[in-house]
Amino acid sequence: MNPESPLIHAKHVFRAAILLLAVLIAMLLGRSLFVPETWGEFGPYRGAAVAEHRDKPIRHGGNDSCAMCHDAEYAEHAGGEHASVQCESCHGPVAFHVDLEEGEVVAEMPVHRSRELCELCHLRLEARPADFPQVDVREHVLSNGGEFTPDACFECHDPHSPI
Amino acid sequence: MFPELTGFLFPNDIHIHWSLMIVMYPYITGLVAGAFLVSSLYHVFGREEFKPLGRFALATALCFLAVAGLPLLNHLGHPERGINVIITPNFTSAMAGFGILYASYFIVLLLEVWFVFRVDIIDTAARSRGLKRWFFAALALGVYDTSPEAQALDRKITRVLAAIGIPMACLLHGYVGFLFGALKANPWWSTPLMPVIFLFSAMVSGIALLIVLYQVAMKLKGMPIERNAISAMARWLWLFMIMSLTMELLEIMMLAYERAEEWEVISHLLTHQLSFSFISLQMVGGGLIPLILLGIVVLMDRYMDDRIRNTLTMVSSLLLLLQVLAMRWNVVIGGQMFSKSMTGFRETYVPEMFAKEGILAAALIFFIPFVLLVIFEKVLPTFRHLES
Ligand code: HEC
Ligand code: HEC
Ligand code: HEC
Ligand code: HEC
Repeated sequence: MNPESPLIHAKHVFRAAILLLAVLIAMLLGRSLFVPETWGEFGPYRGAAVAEHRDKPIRHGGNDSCAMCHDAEYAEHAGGEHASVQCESCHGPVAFHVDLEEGEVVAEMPVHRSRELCELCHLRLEARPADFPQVDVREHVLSNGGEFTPDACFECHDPHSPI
Repeated sequence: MFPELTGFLFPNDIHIHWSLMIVMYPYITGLVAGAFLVSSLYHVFGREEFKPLGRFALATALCFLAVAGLPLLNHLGHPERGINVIITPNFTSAMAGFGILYASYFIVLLLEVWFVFRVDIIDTAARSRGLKRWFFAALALGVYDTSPEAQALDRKITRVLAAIGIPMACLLHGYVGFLFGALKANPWWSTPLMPVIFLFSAMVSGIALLIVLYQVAMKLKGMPIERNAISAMARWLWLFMIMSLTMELLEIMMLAYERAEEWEVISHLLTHQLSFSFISLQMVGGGLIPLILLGIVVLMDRYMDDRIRNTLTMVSSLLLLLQVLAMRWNVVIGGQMFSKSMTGFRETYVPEMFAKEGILAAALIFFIPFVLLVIFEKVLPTFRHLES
């Protein structure tokens, strides 16, 4: 380079610029490594996620999936106040309990025999619709002459047909 | 452990989702923006009174920027997914701005630091040997050109970078205010003034931080505290705090005067849940008192003994640092203390000491930039050029 040229003193600037460029290129390359392949196919998310969710095994079977083995509970429940509440909401997904293809029991179904189960839906809260049955649990149990124990609700209510 | 509630709250109004970490994030970015402004006053506008601070302010901005994202990462349930906002931003959300603004500002700041300290780096490389020499030679990118022409070029580039940096610092911080200001469901946040208020309070906190750090650093190094630097910073601090307080008050006065339905909630919020942090801290203790103290410093500058000036600016700066923290708290936490239906309140919010996003975590995160600053000072002394 011409020794008179002012650029002779800009060597460090060129090095810095090249380094910056290299970093930017590395960032872009790095980004392309990290961006999932199907990103943006339908919108700002991973397109393959849709298929993945679709292909997940179905775990819930609905009330009818219990009927063939628990016809007594099924019938009692269908005729009671809880008819609109799914068995699996209080117990668990059928797939955890039964291999539906083989028709065999694979594990015990959870049974939540506790006040908390009922409070999940019936605890009095400002935010619940006013016409939904809800109680001040403690006051409710005591005023009906019961004892306020962890499984108090079951003294007077059958979870499958509570009234 | 249910918080005390009054009136009607939706179930998702009950929990304070944006915790102390979201208070720390705008606080730290604000400090960056303010410190950067001070360094630019010297590097771009050539205000000689800031010369003792030009480099130090730059180093402070870099150290605080380095941890600015940390509170956010700690807030995320899945910190490893935080990178997604940078790799796959969704531009229909304002949050997508983060990666671009943060990364580009970081690059500008790094480059500026490099050009400002380049000669020091080369000197150190030349004076040392072994591993240290290697390290500094690599930092200098292997070019040892300290000719006057090269230095003149450095200064020119520094000025350009510092000039680019000003709007970028404003964007980065204004954007943080925008995130709140653009939430139309929340009357305590939703105002176009929000980004502006955030910016001015950022300047206040950044200058205040520098006044404190500068005085402490000079004491530790046994160097004299430049009276011109302190009185100039006091003037700028006074100006910015007046603007910032004015706008904070204006926003409240607008709401109060308009008497729209949200005033019901906000007036209650200010006089109950936020009475201490807003009235006592943000307005009186951190607002009115420094306003008077700094007013004395600015108006009676000529008749004032250095020790008194230093003490008064120090006290006002500490109070203002608290004021800005209180302001961030009031915005972030205050906005989550009432129901979106505007008919109910959460009565208190006390962050836990040892929780993941608790007080200790916030203090630790806030401590890191000071450690970084000490390390920076060890590697590249920011005041050495003043000694000779
Ligand atoms: C293939 C038949 C079969 C199907 C289908 C089935 N169960 Fe069962 N279930 C059983 C048998 C057998 C037992 C008793 C075995 C045991 O106690 O381990 C049982 C036990 C239970 C228990 C009591 C567990 C205990 O610890 O006392 C519950 C609750 C239960 N089932 C709920 C359900 C629900 C709800 C469904 C539908 C979602 C369902 N079951 C579907 C066969 C079935
Ligand atoms: C409201 C919640 C709820 C719903 C809905 C519900 N259960 Fe239950 N179920 C319980 C509880 C609680 C127990 C334990 C009762 C007890 O120990 O007294 C239980 C017990 C059982 C048992 C064990 C019976 C026993 O006496 O040990 C079976 C089997 C069962 N449920 C099946 C069903 C089936 C089938 C359905 C749907 C048709 C259903 N449950 C719906 C809450 C529910
Ligand atoms: C998953 C939510 C859910 C759970 C858990 C639940 N319930 Fe219910 N319950 C309902 C629904 C839904 C109704 C029907 C309400 C209606 O008819 O409007 C109902 C109705 C009732 C009723 C009749 C109220 C009326 O006035 O008609 C009683 C009593 C009751 N539940 C008691 C219980 C008890 C006791 C438990 C605990 C074992 C329990 N519920 C658990 C959802 C639930
Ligand atoms: C001592 C007996 C007793 C106990 C224990 C008890 N209940 Fe009841 N519950 C009643 C009676 C009786 C009624 C119907 C009369 C009424 O509405 O008070 C009732 C009604 C209800 C209703 C319907 C209220 C409405 O407004 O329609 C719900 C919901 C309910 N109970 C939930 C519970 C829950 C949850 C528990 C457990 C914490 C519980 N109960 C424990 C006796 C009891």
